[in-house]
Amino acid sequence: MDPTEREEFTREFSQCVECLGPRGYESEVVNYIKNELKRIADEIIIEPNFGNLYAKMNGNDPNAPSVMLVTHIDINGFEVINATDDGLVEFRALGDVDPGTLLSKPVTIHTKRGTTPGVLTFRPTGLRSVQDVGKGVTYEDLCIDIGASSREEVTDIGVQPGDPVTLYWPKQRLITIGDGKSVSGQGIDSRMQVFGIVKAMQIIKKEGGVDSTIWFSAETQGETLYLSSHYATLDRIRPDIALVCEAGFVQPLMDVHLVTTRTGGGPIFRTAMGIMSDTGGFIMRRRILDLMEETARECKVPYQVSVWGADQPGEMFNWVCVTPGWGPEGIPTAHIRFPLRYKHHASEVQYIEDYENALKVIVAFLRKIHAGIDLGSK
Amino acid sequence: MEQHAPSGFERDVGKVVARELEKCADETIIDGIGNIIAKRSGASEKASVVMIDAHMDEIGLMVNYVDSEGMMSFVKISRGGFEGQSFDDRILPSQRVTIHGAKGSVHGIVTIPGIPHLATPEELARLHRSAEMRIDVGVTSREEVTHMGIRTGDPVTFYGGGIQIKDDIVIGRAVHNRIGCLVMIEAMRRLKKTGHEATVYAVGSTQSLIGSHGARVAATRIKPDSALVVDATATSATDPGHVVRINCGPTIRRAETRAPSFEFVAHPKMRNMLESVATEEGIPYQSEYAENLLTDMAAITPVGRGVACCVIGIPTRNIHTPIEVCRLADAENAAKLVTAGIAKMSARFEQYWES
Repeated sequence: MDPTEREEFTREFSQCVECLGPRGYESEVVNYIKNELKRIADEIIIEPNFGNLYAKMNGNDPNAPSVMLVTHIDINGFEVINATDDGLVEFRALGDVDPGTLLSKPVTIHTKRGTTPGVLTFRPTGLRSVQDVGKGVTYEDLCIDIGASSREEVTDIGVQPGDPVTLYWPKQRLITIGDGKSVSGQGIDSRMQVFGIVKAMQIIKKEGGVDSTIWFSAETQGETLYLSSHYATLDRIRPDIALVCEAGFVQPLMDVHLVTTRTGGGPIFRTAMGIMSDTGGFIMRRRILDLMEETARECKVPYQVSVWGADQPGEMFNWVCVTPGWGPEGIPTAHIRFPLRYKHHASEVQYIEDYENALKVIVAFLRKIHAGIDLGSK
Repeated sequence: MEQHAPSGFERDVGKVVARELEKCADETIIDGIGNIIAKRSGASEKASVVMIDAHMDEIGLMVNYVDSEGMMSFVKISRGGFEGQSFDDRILPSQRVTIHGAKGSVHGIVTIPGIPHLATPEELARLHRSAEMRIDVGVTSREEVTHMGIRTGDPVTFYGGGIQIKDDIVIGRAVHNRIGCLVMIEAMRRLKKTGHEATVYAVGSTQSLIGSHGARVAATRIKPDSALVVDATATSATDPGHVVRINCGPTIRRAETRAPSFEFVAHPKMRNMLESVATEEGIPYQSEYAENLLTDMAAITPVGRGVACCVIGIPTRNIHTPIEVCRLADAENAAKLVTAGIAKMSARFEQYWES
């Protein structure tokens, strides 16, 4: 992308990132997806039990295998518990942000009366700071300061138990860093995937569609709750191929053998994960991996194959494979990740070129699927 | 308040402070270390010389080394080591920062190693030291960083995201000590209206956070009889002995200390005067013994034959972090207190002890 295109990307992507919210508060992003796809989808369903959104684009060849793009749409965030006598606000985590990165970060509380700014700070516990300056930060240490000096003031401002909280102040959830090659913010996981899938579908529609019918399954709660809303999807949609989209870990400050993927290396094809864990894991069907690599080579973009977290308990998208009817014998599942530095920290960094290349591969993959394609079934 | 000014690089804030002080001063100069010194002659030539001091600098970082992958190590612009006055390392991870390089501002973030999914609970609760952190500007090589005009020694400030002001509540970067500068400017405006006997110097001082060098230089030039330091101050927690809270008025400081060996006592006559003035004028205040804080008072008090000094503090929550919280009512009351106090300072404090 040239600088003008990158600016446009940042502006558009910001709109997606600004949407609420963590699990249980996904309505804004569901509306975002609906608005982006309503002119191009043949069918949009909002599932009634979990709030998932399913969008369908009919294919040009009824004999071609159908493809389902699937991602979770919630992000890491917080929720208000109550106010203290001093006017500070206690909160719980809805998600898994590293608490070591949370101190002194701006937050926004979304109340029924509108948003109110605050900052994450230490909960006062006696004469702090000198005594325990040698201690790391945990969630128990933190609270939100909105500048109120009493419990009554907090209520007057409109903050109530259960109000969702996001990191950063409104219109600042996404910023450009460096000379514009990357953007940073929180919630890029999962908004990058949502944005990428929406863009892919818009591109495909503009070209006149592809052979396959394409489903987008935008699932709620999946950032933290594995397999709750996903069950509803499995009950309704049985595609011939699934393409799971997620954010992939990149950590330049960690050993290359632990985190094998790097910025600039292009989309990540996660060929295996959690295979040593107690709950079992996932190995991508080899023919599907070949298909993804072929696609990337044809697009002339770099890609990275990753074996991840061998002893990590199976993440949601592992289980797409082993759930009844969806097993490796059933629905072949491809797995693509947008490399994201500092996933699960308060500031994530997305190298724009990696997003671009991942999008190219997704679009090309969708174009590549045709009737009679060899998917390596036995 | 939006200007960036880490210690040693205060020019942009200096310009704003100078502009505002010029409107209510007889003469304004910038000295060799960057202090803005504005003078108002008093009604009486024989009256004492009072210096109001508010430091203009803020906490920040400085680029140390750029590695081959484009990641930068850094040091902190703030004295005090890990305890006492220096700011807490724990606020740094994931903090958005602005690097001020040769080609202008560049945004980045501070980052730490670690992936929560791979960490045990002990690892997750581990303390991260600033030495292991890096600034990331979203590139993959040293060449790209150099191309952006960034190099060793460049100052870095916290991006902050602006100041959020909702009714009386102020949340944002550099409340410490822009609120002090604001109070000083407001006091000078009021003094211009009400008149005063003493000669008043308003000093926007530099490099307070790395040793109060600006204040010391200004005091040496001015040789004031007394000085009022206006600074944001920490709110203390729940010790019933001395609680400083926001929204309860400015503080009048009895003493400040930084263990193990530094303590500065405010001039008792001056302090008593300020407390009675506050009571007479109906200005709420809090009496304060500041633990683990050293301000410009420490540098001004010993200058020449000594200076009678006291600190008026604006209570600020989360002080020494990128996002601080204070209340405008406290700032306004501080300005009232400074103005009213100066009205009573036409004569020097000739006596220290009660007779």
